[in-house]
Amino acid sequence: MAIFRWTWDPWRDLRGLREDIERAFGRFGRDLGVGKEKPAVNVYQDDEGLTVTAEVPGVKAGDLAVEAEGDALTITARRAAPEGIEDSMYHRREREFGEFSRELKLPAGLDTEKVVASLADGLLTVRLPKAETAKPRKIEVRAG
Amino acid sequence: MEENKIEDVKTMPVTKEAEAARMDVEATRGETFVTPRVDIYETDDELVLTADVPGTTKEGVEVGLEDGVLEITAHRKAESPGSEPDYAEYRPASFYRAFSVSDAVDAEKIDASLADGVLTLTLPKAPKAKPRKIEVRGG
Repeated sequence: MAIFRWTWDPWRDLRGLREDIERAFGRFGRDLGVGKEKPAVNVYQDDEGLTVTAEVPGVKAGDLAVEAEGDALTITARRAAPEGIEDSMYHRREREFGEFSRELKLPAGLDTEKVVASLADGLLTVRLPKAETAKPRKIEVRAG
Repeated sequence: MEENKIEDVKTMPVTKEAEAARMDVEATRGETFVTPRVDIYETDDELVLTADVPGTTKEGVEVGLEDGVLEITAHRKAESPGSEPDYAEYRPASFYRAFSVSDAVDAEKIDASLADGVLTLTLPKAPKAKPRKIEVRGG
């Protein structure tokens, strides 16, 4: 069965940030209880920019905040717990509720003014285009 | 009401082996599956199951109850970029889970709805499973 690829170096920053946070709280290497890495994200790169997808089932657009500032992308989602259901009524309880937040460190060269976020079927997609200045330019060589 | 709070309907996860076998069958068709997170609660009249199945649409969801086994399959299309993620924390795979449900559920009346990547199944209890108060008639 295919396992995630963890070999992509340019994204070490992204993991680094998480480790920094975990270290700061003295929990590095341990499974975190509250403040787990949520929502889970995938990052896709192409020539024109980055696409970040996040699984946010049951979250309404109004309870979702996406902020891109400088080199940080922050995704905050809130999922309300169902009301009126007592603990004793549960046979099984695996889903989590409350507020989840994720911060990703972005690579340089993205145009954070042009970020587009969309939500469909419990999946958030954030598109971060590269800044024009960051795209490769072909320099014409003129004959002297 | 407290005395009615008996667990009328039993729900049990189907054995890991059975689930794995089913997943292997599906895997040969080039589809991978993960186990969705599920809540199940019971009221006097029904059993409600909610499952997180982000990225799926109602066309891709199949729910079946046969021989006391409730099966949930939610097919998921590849994510939009279509390529392998460069950094991955979740697998954009389809979902499969099975529970054995006691025959106290009225299979004909199961209702399923999908919204925002959450599947909600309502399984009404069969009349015999509802707490019944027997009236004693005077002769």
